[in-house]
Amino acid sequence: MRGRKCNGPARKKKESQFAAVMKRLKRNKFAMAGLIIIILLILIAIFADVIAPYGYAEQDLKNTFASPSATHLCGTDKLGRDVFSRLIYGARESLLIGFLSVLLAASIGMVLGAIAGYYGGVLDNVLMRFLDIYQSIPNILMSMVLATALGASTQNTILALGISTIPLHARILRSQFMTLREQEYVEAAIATNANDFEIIFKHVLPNAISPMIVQITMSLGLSILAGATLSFLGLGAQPPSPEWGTMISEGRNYLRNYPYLALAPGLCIMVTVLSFNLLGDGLRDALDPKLKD
Amino acid sequence: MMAQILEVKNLKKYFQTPGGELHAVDNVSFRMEAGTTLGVVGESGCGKSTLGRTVLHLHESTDGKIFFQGEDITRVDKKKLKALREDMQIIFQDPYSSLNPRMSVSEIIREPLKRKGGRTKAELDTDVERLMDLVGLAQRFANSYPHELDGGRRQRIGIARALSLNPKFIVCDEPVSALDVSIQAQILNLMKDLQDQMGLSYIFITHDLSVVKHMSDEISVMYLGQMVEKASAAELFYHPIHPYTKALLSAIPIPKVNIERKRILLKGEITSPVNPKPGCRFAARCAYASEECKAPQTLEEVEPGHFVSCCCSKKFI
Repeated sequence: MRGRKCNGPARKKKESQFAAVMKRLKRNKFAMAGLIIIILLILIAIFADVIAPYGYAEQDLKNTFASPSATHLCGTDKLGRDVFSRLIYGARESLLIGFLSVLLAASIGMVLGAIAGYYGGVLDNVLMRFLDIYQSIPNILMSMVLATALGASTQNTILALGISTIPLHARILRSQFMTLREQEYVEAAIATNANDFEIIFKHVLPNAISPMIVQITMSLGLSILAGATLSFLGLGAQPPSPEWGTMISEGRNYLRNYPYLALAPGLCIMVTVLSFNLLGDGLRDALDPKLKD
Repeated sequence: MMAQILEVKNLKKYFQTPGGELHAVDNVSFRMEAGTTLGVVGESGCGKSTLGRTVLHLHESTDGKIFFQGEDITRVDKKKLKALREDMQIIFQDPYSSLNPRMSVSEIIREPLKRKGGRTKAELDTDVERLMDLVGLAQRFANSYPHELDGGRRQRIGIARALSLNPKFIVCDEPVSALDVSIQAQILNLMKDLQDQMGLSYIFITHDLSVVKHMSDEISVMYLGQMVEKASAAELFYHPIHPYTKALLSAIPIPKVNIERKRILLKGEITSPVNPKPGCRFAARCAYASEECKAPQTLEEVEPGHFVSCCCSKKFI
């Protein structure tokens, strides 16, 4: 291992660490499968307009409930809309809900967690007791209440999911900050005149970020699932939106005769959530800098 | 006469705990000359590390005075503290937790210099190279991460970091107790060489008595936050006075067979440092304890340069 290091010009550190993580991740077949599926999904979501053979609201009332065929890969629904195209546009909706709600939750949660964990004391106590109360309300219930109060729409689903999952992120970063600020390298930094900003962003955060990345990856899957749940209940994305949960909700009425109407979006949700979880699990191992290559 | 680098007068550091006030450092006074090493020994939890950290302002002192190069630094403002920290540094015990695992060797050594400012990138590179040479770290490790190196090399990184700001005074908090014996000797010799080259003053905290004998000009023995005895290294080892020091020294293993020696075995547990009673803290375990020991003890010079905090010291000389 030591022989690998040489006197050559210093590589850019970020790249080399990223490369090391990727190298370890590559060894985990399941995580790689998850990563590839997620990348594909993202590409599908971005290029939905190009890939989808039909528009998501394009109706063909003469051709409702068509069976899967070459023209309609997954058949058509009660309005003659192409299910395959709707699934493709649905990826866009679902991923958007997942990414934006997690972005919202993680950015607020991390700031709160970092402040509570680093400064401790009364501030920590106040923040954490507040989050305790917050967390005693079941996640899905809070999202439902928020979604109902704000009105059912995709944006409000994102807000509701984001707001209700803030404590998860806050807690993880807080516990990381609490352990890490006691480390001797933080003391060494203080002894060499580092200010709070440098300590937080150079010494504590980089070492706290691994569990956060894992948590964020996992919550992406969970948020997509929760988003679909809200839509299924009629509190999230509204028809004619092709959100997968909405599609299941519409398809469930025809479950007996046309099961693929609900099964296809259900399968999409399952594969997506599974991919995020597999990737999250793989990242947990790959991100540990102390792990030997 | 050599210049005085550090003087500590009646230094106290109490921590508030749920059970009451924990007297981690209680009424410790000493002075040390520039270029010398003061060894601080004692068992775990006796306040050695807290003493070192309080002197460095990593803990705020509860009471007492600290003078650095004749100047009162007990309470200083931010600007003064910044300047002070360039003169006073620390080397940590654990070479694993004292280095940021996400920073490469050169980044760790460079950081304090970079923060100080006033150097170009090329100058910083030269400085890092110079420091790595100084502590005997091969340049090929510059881009390695700490976890790729062994304990000795890691401790050299810690030393290089402490030296980067060109300090005059370093608190060494058990710098070798986490290392293998063979590596210990290397690091200790390195520290001695650096002291000679740069005229450094060390407070050398350890519980390893043979190490402290090798390193120190003067040794002070701590027990439950108090300094019980202080003398030159030779004097303390050949003529200990305080019963605790005697017991401590009798615990040093001697690598000889069939040697006749009297081991002093201490009875009982170390008493709690939370809300301690006045009087000698060692009395509960001392074979010579009497009524007198319930009065507060003071560190007194019983022989030139030999200080003992024991009311019965006359009996033991």
